[in-house]
Amino acid sequence: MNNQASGRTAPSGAEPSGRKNEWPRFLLLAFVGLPITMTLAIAAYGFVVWFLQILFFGPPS
Amino acid sequence: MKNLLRSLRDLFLKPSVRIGLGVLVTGGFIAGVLAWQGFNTAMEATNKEEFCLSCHTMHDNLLPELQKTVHWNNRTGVRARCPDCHVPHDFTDKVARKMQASREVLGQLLGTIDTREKFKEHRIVLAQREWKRFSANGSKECRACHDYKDMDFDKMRPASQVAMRKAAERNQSCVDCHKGVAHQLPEMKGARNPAFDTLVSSAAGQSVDAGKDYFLVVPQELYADEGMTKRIGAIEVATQVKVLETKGDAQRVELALWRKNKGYGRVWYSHFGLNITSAVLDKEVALDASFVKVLDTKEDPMTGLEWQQVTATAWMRKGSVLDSVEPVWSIARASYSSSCSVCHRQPEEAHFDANTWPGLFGGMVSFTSMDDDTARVVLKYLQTHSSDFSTSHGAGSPDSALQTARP
Ligand code: HEC
Ligand code: HEC
Ligand code: HEC
Ligand code: HEC
Repeated sequence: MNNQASGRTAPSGAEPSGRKNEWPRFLLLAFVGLPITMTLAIAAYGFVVWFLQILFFGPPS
Repeated sequence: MKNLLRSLRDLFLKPSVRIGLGVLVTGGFIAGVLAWQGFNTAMEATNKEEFCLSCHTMHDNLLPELQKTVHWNNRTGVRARCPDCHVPHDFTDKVARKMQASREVLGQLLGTIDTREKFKEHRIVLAQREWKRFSANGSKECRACHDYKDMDFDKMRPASQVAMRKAAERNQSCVDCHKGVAHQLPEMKGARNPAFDTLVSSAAGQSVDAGKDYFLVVPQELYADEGMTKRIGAIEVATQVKVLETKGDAQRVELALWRKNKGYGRVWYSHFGLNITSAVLDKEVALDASFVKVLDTKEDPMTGLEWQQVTATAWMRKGSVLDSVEPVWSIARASYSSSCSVCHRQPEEAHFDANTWPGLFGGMVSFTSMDDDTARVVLKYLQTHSSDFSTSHGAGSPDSALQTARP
């Protein structure tokens, strides 16, 4: 907390990664990282539902 | 690992230094919209008919069949595409179905059904999966296009009206009755009713005494010799035989049946005057007086045909008889009541007589998914429980009728 607060009050502060890589990191996260995560999560959800169908529910009603 | 976790934590928890909050949120929003749009586009692309047909198995086998049906080309110009029928329409089931397709991808890579022959052989398995799915969801996919509540039954063909009204009343799943609307039905001949396997294994354990009567649990070939090399005919399931002797794998049995004294007399029936097929012999054998002994001759007053009571002995493979016919009938009964009650209540067995059943049954059996063996047993069950045999209908069994008719 303290660390972050001080980061805000002193934008010129000593965080090496913050300054230089912020834009690339933001773009990478928003347009590559999270979409991939979303797809994987949905796929995992699909597999879980499928396995539950095999094991417990039977085909969807 | 620790480093990764830490940089992840930093990524999410450390406020940004140079990018404003508004830019971050807007950027995130745009990324979200694009990602979701992209996801949906991809989903849709895998839900196109072209995608289904890009596997040659589907293109070569299923497409030409669909093209022959009303769902491909019709008066109103509405087309049903593969995914309309085969992919669930709501999100969760759809995603689950897409993941299930990983098995299909594996099958494609391994070439499980990459030829027409392999496909035809495996088809029954695939079809049964689809039937199960449709019956669980009440044929939801069909009903996205045509549902009971929107049907005008009066405008249907007369043949459809009764069945469809009843179906609507019961809110029944379409595919219960409409199998094979889009493709050829799988060959049922190769399919075996698993119920018979238990019969066969109990027959294998049956101890057989010479001179006693038994019933066949599966159809068998008949041979002239104990080496079972010279085939002379075939004997039907549930036929009563007297076992004379057992030698090695073979069993000599005596048949005591009836036939019409017309043509070659190849087809033998279990009772006088009733067309209940029990054995079919080869032509030369049926004509051979040294093989067939005629015990009695009677004229059927209904048809004016002369019937002969005949007997013969032949060899067949051992281990296919039981001392009671009841287990066979209980399989037939189960199959009859499950398959024939789909569209209407199954008729009383004794509502028709033994000679009427084959015609009625033959007209109906194609509506069901019975395999050939089962269909034969069910027909025989219906005939031997028909009004000719039923005591409650007062007709009396033909055996007793015979007894009284004899001088
Ligand atoms: C994309 C919409 C759509 C879907 C999904 C669909 N159908 Fe149809 N169906 C049609 C159309 C269109 C016709 C033809 C109407 C006409 O005669 O012009 C038709 C006709 C039929 C017919 C009449 C056939 C005949 O010979 O007259 C039956 C039976 C039928 N469908 C059953 C089904 C079943 C069962 C399913 C589910 C497996 C199904 N349909 C799914 C659109 C659809
Ligand atoms: C109880 C069995 C049964 C069920 C369930 C059933 N049908 Fe039918 N349907 C029939 C029979 C039998 C016919 C007449 C078929 C024939 O003569 O070839 C028929 C005929 C039709 C026809 C042709 C109508 C016409 O103009 O003659 C359509 C379309 C149809 N069914 C659609 C459906 C749909 C859609 C469902 C599910 C919502 C459904 N059926 C459920 C038994 C059934
Ligand atoms: C009108 C609905 C409908 C359409 C359109 C349709 N199918 Fe089917 N499909 C079925 C039904 C119902 C079954 C279950 C088996 C049966 O009754 O014939 C089935 C079964 C199958 C099977 C299992 C094997 C078999 O033949 O039983 C495959 C594979 C298949 N469909 C692929 C396709 C492909 C590929 C397309 C597009 C070219 C397609 N289907 C279009 C209704 C449809
Ligand atoms: C797909 C639906 C369907 C299935 C499955 C079906 N039937 Fe039918 N059945 C009908 C329809 C529709 C009629 C009326 C036809 C008519 O009157 O021309 C009928 C009529 C009959 C009749 C005539 C009734 C009478 O009083 O004349 C008999 C008997 C019969 N069915 C027996 C069977 C048997 C046995 C089976 C099982 C092998 C069977 N049905 C399976 C649809 C079906």
